[in-house]
Amino acid sequence: MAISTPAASAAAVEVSGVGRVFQAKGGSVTALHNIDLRIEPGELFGLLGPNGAGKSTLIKILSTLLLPSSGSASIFGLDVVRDTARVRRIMNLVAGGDFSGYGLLTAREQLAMFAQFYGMPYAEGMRRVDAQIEAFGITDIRDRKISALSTGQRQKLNFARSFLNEPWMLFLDEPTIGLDVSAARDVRERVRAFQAEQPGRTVLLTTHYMAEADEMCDRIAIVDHGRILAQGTPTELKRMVQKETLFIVGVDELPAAVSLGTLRELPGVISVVVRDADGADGNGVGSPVTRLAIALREDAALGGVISALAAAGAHLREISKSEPTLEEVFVQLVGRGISESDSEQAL
Amino acid sequence: MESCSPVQIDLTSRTSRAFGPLRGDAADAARSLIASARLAWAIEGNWAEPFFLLVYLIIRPLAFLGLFLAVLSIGGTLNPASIGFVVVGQAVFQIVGAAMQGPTHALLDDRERYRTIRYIFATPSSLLPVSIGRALVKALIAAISAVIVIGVGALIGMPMRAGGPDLPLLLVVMTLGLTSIVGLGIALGAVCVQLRNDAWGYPQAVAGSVFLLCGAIFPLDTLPRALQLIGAALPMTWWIEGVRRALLGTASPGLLGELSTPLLLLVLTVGTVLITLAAPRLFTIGIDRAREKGYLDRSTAS
Repeated sequence: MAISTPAASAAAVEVSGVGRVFQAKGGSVTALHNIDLRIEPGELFGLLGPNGAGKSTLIKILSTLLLPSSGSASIFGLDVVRDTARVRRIMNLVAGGDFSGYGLLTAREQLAMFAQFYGMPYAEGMRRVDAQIEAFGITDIRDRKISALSTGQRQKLNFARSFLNEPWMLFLDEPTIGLDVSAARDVRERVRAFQAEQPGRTVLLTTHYMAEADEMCDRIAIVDHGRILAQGTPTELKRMVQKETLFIVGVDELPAAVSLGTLRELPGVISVVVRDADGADGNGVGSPVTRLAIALREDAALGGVISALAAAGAHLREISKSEPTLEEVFVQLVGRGISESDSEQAL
Repeated sequence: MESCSPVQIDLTSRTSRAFGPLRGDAADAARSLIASARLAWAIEGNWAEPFFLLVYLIIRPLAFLGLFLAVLSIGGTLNPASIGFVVVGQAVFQIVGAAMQGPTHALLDDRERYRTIRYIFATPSSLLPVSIGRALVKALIAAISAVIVIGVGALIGMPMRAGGPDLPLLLVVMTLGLTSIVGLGIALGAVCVQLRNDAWGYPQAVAGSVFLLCGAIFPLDTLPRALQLIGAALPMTWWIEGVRRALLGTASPGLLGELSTPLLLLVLTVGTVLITLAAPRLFTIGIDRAREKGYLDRSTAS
């Protein structure tokens, strides 16, 4: 069949000047302000922000649940307003914490029903249903009524549903909220495996959890009050708040042949300070370690420092790179922590 | 970063339908309708408590029937003809009420109770066949009540048509009537999905009003002129009259009874065609508006 759109070379998600205004009793509320965003095929892209930042509104627009007030958005070149039916064939979504499902149906019955809604012939639908039940490791609950399932089991079922139509674009709106550590880990692993199965499968994830975003996302946009404040890879975002690279280098002891001043004069070195000196196991037991905090203009400068220490006879015990966390990035950009932001929203 | 490298996706393979003509829409709609009908059967047929089944299917409609017959008796107009009139009206209205409420309750249930409407709406399937499937099963279950009411009516002296019911006529009027009432139900559903929690009661209020206007318990002639015109515009009026003729073999008293059966069928057919053409359009407009306003995914609790 001839391709009638330029979608094969299009971005997975292209958002251009999207705004959304809700009418409320007290006036209008602007949930999104002229958002621009491009997500490439195959990316796992994260939207990080507090409650009310506009993350879910953007996902609703992209998943055809809501119309934008202004601007345009497309999924693999298909406009989410004009090509709704086609967009729905190539995408799916999962929201966390809403305990959705028909309690009277069994897990398998509910998935089978959605397979029909996705337009699959019955036999093909049941094949995919059983494959997803197997993939999520929920064969033990396949014939159990949904009302009897735990939160984690329901959410796994929700994910299984979202994979039935093998979407190219998967929207995950706080998908691990309310899940225990084990269930959240299972879900994350399954999402990664799903992406790995087919090049080009793209995921847009909203989350509160900094560690989840840091661990999973290729790129992240930090959103607040309906605006994207910054976007980039986790490393790029961290670089925004820490211009230099900080390494912690542990040696037995600083040899007399090399001083901190000598190290500071090496190319690419910004500063060197003794951070601490203690026992090897951190409890003062064993041979002592002297840790140097070395700030560099770039990673490559570390080689010169290590060479200088080795030439002076220092025994290298440990090297670690110290980076700011996403939480620190968030605080710097938004001006408050994500949990503070949520508390403000709750008030 | 591996994931950001250019990836050429073969759009012509598994999901080629996403980019070609949307063939097979009718087949998809049929699948969705059947799947939602199965769901409705699981929900409506969840009669784990036989007592509730007894109340819902038998006691409630018979209690209403008894009430109307008592009113006739007090008014001194209780006779076989009036029993037949009220029994058929009451029986058919069981189906009218269920089919009219079905789509609204399906949409609101999925939004408020099961929290699945976002997932259904985001599938390629339209909410239309999903709502119709749910309404049809509600109507089917209500039909059991209708049969019970008619059976009891026959036992207490309702005069049946000589030679038994006119089954071809019954089949035609039931098909037309059910089609028109489901059409009205989905139009009502598209209105109610834009409302908050009190939307649950709207279909019942509308059905109750219709009950008084469509000749289910009063002949149309007994209503004021303006209400007679409204009653005459309702397909339920012609549907109930058609069922009366098929089961009782006699027409209702008054103006409606003066019409020939072919003319009655023509009016019912025209009305059904108009509703069938208009209802999906109204439904689409209503759902589009709900999508624009953000009502589809907005539960009352939120």
